[in-house]
Amino acid sequence: MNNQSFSLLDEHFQAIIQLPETRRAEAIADFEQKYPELLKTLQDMLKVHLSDKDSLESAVVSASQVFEEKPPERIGPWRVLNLLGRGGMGDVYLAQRDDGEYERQVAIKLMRSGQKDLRHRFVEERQVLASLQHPNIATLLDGGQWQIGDETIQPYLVMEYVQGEDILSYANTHDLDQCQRLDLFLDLCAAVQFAHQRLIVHRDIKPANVLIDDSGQVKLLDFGIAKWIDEDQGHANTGSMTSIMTPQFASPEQLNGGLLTTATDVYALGVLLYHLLSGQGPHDLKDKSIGEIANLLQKEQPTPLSRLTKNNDPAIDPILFACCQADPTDRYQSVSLLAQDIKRFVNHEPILMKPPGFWQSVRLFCKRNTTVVATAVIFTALVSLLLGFHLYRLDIEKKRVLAQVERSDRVSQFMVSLFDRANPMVAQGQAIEPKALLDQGLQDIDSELADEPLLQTQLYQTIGRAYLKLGKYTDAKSAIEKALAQLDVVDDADVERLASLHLLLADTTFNLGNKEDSKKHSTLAKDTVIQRFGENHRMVATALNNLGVMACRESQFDVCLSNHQQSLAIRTALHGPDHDRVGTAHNYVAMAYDHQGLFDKAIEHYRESLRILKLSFGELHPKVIDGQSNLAGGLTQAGHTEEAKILLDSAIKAARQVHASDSPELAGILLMKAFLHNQLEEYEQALPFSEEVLTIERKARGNSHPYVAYDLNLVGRGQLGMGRLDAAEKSFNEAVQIMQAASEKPDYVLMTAKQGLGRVYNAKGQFDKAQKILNETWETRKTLDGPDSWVTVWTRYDLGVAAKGLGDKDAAKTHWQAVLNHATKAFPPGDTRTIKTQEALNNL
Amino acid sequence: MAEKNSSDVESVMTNDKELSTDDLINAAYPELKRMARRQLRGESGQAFQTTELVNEAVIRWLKGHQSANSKLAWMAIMAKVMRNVLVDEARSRHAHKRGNNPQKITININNQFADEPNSTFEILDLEAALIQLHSFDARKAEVIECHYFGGMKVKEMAKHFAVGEATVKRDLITARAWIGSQIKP
Repeated sequence: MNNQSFSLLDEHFQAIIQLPETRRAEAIADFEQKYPELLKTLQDMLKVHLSDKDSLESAVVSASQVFEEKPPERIGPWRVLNLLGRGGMGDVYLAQRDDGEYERQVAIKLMRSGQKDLRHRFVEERQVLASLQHPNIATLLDGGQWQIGDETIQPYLVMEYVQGEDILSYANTHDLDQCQRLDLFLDLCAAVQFAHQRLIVHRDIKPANVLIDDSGQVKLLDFGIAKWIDEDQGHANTGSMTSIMTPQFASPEQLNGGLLTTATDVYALGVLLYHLLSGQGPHDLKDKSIGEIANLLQKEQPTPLSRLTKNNDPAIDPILFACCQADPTDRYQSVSLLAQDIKRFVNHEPILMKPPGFWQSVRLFCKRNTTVVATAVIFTALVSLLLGFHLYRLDIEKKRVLAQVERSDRVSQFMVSLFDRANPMVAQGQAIEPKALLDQGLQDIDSELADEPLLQTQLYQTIGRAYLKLGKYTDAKSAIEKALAQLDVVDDADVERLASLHLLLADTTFNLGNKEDSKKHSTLAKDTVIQRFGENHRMVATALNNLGVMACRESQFDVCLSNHQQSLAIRTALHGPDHDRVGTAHNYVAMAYDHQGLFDKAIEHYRESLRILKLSFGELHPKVIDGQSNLAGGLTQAGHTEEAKILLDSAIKAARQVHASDSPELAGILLMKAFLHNQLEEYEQALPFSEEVLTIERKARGNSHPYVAYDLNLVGRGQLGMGRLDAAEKSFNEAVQIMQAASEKPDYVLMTAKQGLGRVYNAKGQFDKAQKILNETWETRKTLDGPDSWVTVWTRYDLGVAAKGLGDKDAAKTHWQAVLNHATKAFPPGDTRTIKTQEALNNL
Repeated sequence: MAEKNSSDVESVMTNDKELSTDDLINAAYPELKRMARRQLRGESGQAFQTTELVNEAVIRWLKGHQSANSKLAWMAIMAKVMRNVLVDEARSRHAHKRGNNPQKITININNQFADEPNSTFEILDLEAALIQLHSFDARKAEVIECHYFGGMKVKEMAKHFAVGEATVKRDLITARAWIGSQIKP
């Protein structure tokens, strides 16, 4: 066939099908005469045309059916049991750990996502979400990235599996009355409010996300997930596409791509309440497109509930109206205000919200019915008279109630209101900068709450903690100090507050690199609490832990160990042996042993820590990764390098998935690998890791941070091992300078740097210089770490090298023999350090 | 990066007079393909709702800037993407089913595609016919593509191809009959 014959077919086929059936045979015969070779095709075409079946459509549909997916067998460490549901944003599976470490069944949301960039935000926000521990919020347990075959990476979230019914069908199947329905709704409000206080907006509240579990408890699912989906699609902080999938619960700002705030959740709560009380929404949206809906929501007031169902008290209408306003500023300014009004409605008390849409309805009414406007004007005049009185009465009532509102509630309201202050709705598409919000909040506290010191204190503390979380340490410090200055200690609650302010300051000053202040505040916190509540208190454990960390950093290892042991004991007493805090405490005890060179003890605690952390968090959790890497560090030092290598490879793989590529957390893991290779004298392998760590830490902490000095030591050791002596000397020198600037007292990082310099001098043949600095190091370490500690003894190896270089063979022999004796006892046979020393002795 | 991708597409779209459909597809193809697959997974078993898919794409990328025309252009692009996705998948499954050696008639042992009905592969015959049709009469082939893979209505196609509705109907009838004659001998 060619173009010409196709045109012929087209022409004749079209002509024939226009003909009445009786004349077709004739036309076909005609065609056959002229184009016999095309007859068969023409006949087939006619047959197809007259058939009821559309073979094209069935081919397309059959081809599309193969895409029906089988659920994956595993997602990360989780074994998939079955598919629970399928949604636009991803699939939900029921799953279980099959290593027996975590027995409960969980729901896993496997999100469809192509954006690798999501990973970073995902990790950050997962931590925020994990902080949403509330009885009415389904807990986030774990999360990670999953890749199947060539498909793009899909993030997944592991959530508490809630077995239950959605709130609407639950209310209906249990035939709940209005009061019972409102009770459920109030629980839901509490959950949403709890999250709003933490500056987390749900953005997708709808019945499918509100379940009632088997015990009758409200559980809100999928907090904050809508936001990830949006950002994944490139909608930072703007319109939620996920909600557009269910437009009847979407707020106008979602449909118009506006900024989403707590007011968005208020809107969705209102719509949900409509459905809960009437089985219908505030607007009739049937068969309407998204554009039409968006339009309608802007123009039309919600239908009064009393018009939808007979048995509803019209007094609830203003509450619903106030939720479902098109303009977010016309809605309840917080969920707790909404909840208060519901409670007042239930108790038959006057509600605080005035009917807000009233004037708007009047205006609209006038617009639509110009002929009856005259009547309307009279009506309006009458009503405004009545309304004026009504509002006056409400205003008095409002003042009275506000005075009663608990202070804690006002703190949260204030935090929530920060959203709105920073939110002129015109700023579409701009991300809310948390720092800017807090700065604004701080100003407002100073100016607006000057006459309420206690409230001020609480707000300063809240904002200080938020700054600390954001890594804005200087701002955090000044906010917390303001709180401390205001605090007047009267009762138990004040004591706890005082202690927690000190702990916050300890944390902040530690992060600012100010050790003495940090120690001071931890001690103050500890003493304050012990004096009032005794030893067994979580804040004592925290303070001891802080002090332990500080002590280790100053090489006071026995103080360090005893602090951590006490902290571990308190935590075990408070939480039982399997709690994740106990796991963390084991880790600190292990580190203390590690510092003292008691590696077997250290390994024992590292293992216990890892066991508990895995139990609590699953495999892919930052804490578990850290645990693995710490255990690997202990094993490395004890010479069990094979096991360490395996652990580290798995930890690094996980860390690269979980952490951003420039995060200090990742650096902490890579560092262990560098350390391991250095230990094995595989410098070429070690150096890239060390350099990556150094780059990350310089960027994250600045050039004068002690961690940078630590990393410089690692880099220096690699450079030295590869014979790049000038570079190594430069690295060690920088480390020495950082440490000497940071503190007057020597510590082990400084000692490592000095030993490094000694080795460089040895390698350069400058044995005098080497002997001098190594002797200093040895002497300092004797007091710092004890004369029999391994690091102290190990200094003598290099001293031996220097002595040999200076021709003093006897001194060299003494040094090396001492090292060999120690190493033979301390390490398993075949350890590189033992062999190296033996060889040195043999060559003497 | 999410932001980068979307703005790329957006800038492409704002200059769409200078850029060909192919440029558009290339810019958006990976994401469109992902959406198509996702849509297919969610909707399999029924004729899929391409319109919804296109709406989503349009809203996502053109937020506010879209005109009726660009929407139709997107629908046509999505139809192409959908066709590609379906054909690619059928092709790769077909290759699996036959094994690597096309000459060899394999007995499927424990093959995950063993139970695949032959109707799955009818699309490959359709594709071959469609390619041939394109060489005879490009618009007729495109009308088929828009209608069957993109769910476009006659009215929409008329606007998109800038021809009368009667012409589109005529194209559709002939093309359907001809392709039908080719795939069902």
